[in-house]
Amino acid sequence: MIKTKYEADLLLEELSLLEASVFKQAGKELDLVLNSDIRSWVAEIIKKELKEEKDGIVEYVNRLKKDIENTPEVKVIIAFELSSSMETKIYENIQSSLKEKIVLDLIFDRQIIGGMIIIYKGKYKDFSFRRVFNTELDKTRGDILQTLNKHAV
Amino acid sequence: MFEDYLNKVGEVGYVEEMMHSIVYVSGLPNAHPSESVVFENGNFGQVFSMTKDRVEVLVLGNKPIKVGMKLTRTDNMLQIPVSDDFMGRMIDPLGLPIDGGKPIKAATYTAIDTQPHGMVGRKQAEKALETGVTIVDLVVPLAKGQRELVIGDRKTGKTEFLLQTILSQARKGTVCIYSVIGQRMQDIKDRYQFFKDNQIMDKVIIIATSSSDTSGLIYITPFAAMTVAEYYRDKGFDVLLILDDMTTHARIYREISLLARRFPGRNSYPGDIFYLHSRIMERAGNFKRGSITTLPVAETIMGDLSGYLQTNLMGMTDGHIFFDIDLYNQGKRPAVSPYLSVTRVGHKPQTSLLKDLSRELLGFLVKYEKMKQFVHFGAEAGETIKGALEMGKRIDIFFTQETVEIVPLNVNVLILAGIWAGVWNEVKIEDLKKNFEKAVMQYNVDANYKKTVDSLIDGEKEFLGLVNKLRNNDEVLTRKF
Repeated sequence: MIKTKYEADLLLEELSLLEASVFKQAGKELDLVLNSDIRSWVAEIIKKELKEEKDGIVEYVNRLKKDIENTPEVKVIIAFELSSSMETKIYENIQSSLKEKIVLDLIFDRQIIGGMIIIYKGKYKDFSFRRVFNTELDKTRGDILQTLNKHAV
Repeated sequence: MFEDYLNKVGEVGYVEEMMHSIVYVSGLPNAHPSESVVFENGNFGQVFSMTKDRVEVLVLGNKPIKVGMKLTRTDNMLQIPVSDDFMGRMIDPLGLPIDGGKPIKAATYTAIDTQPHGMVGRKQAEKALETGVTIVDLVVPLAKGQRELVIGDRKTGKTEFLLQTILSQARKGTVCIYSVIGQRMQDIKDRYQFFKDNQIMDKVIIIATSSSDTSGLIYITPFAAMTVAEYYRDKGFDVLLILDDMTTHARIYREISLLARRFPGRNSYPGDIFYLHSRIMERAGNFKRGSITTLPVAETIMGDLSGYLQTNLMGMTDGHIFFDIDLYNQGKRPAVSPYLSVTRVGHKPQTSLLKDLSRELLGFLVKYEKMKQFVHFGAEAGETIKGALEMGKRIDIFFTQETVEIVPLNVNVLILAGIWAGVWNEVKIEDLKKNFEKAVMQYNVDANYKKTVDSLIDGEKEFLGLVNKLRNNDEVLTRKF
């Protein structure tokens, strides 16, 4: 299952290699690529699916590529690098609320301090600590300045 | 600012493709036409059109835009700040000072592309607008609220005429807005200096874009200028708005439209070029509260008045003042053609004396032109023709005017009546101008003389009546000043 944009790009690269190999050395190159250039678990799935494929390998690869390219991207801006389990958790949460196949584009930005910003189909939701702090600071700026003035020497 | 709008609207877009001042953006699902957008570098833009996947944005600022840059909507139509502090300043269409002065605090923000005032708030032209240019004030008079096209070839004195008009009107307390559309920065600075040197800058606002500004910014210049004009109109002021020039504006809009892959029409201009300009012109007029007199400028090529844009602009204005290249080459200054110029509402607020004078004068000028051609063929001229030609020459001298010279209307009337009455028939042609200048000078500096002239003119209803009065007693013109 593809969760992130990184994984999607990797798979697209592998599919392109596969597509290029179809017409080389009368089909012998295809096996070589499947066995050596593509991740083994991906190769296993492709081999399995190719057995049931009726339209041929080129159509199969093109269909897959189109599917991946058309999957909506959700940009998630976070302050730290995620563990794999955290990545899955975020993916599942977002997917369940959107109710469609998605790909996460994870961006690291320490300036947001914590929390996350989610951008999906042009919609922007800021759940970052930076925003929370800024809002709080705007509210209390006057008090802080007053306190500082009071204690100024 | 970007962050504020982003958090308020909650929508983001990314620049996908750039084509000069047009950028294509993904995202912004709820963008609407003409809405303003903000880029993450603080640049402003305006939504130009939309497709299913992308939004076409016109970039307005001068800061560089890159592919991948973020932008957000503002949920507002494009608005500019307006303020009383604009008076005496030189600003760009977004209200930012370009005269090196301090930033201007906005009193309010107003949309630049608004609906023109309906009929209810309007009224007929009631007050004359004096330009201080003799030939215009007598032959092609203007009224407050009129939209008069100033048209002519390059370098025929259009701008000089506009500056004279501003000079004349600013001294009378009219708010003058000079909108420079995509001209050379040096020329813009020269105009600014001209207003400063003549001490009228406190009544003038310059809204300018230079040719090095982005097409988007140049495109919104007349809209912004009209918005500022409306702000002062709503405060009850009479406003004089000059749009210099609309052919450059049309060229810029053509550039934008072609870049945006709009279908080209006649001369490659987009189909909505008439709508674009008429939308601006319709916002001018005479209102129950204040007025906006608009003088759009159009350039012609080799004196051709039948061009696409030129005829468009003629169709949406209340007349035109034509600067004839042939007259200019003959040495006439200003080179206004009295035969090809038109004023549709300018005669309305005139007194019966002025109406009568205009009629007589234009009739004579047509006759004079015919006679000149007749004599040109070598025909022998009779006494009447000789007399008319002689008077024509004197009127030509009377119309000749320096670019910074402003002549009040009443003194114009008096001098013309004097010429008609033959007051200076014995004076040599070379010395004639001096006599006219003396009268103008006296009128400007001597309050008693001004009073005498004004009461003489105000008490007369017919031009020939005034001429007869001067025939009987020309002391008002021949006295030693």
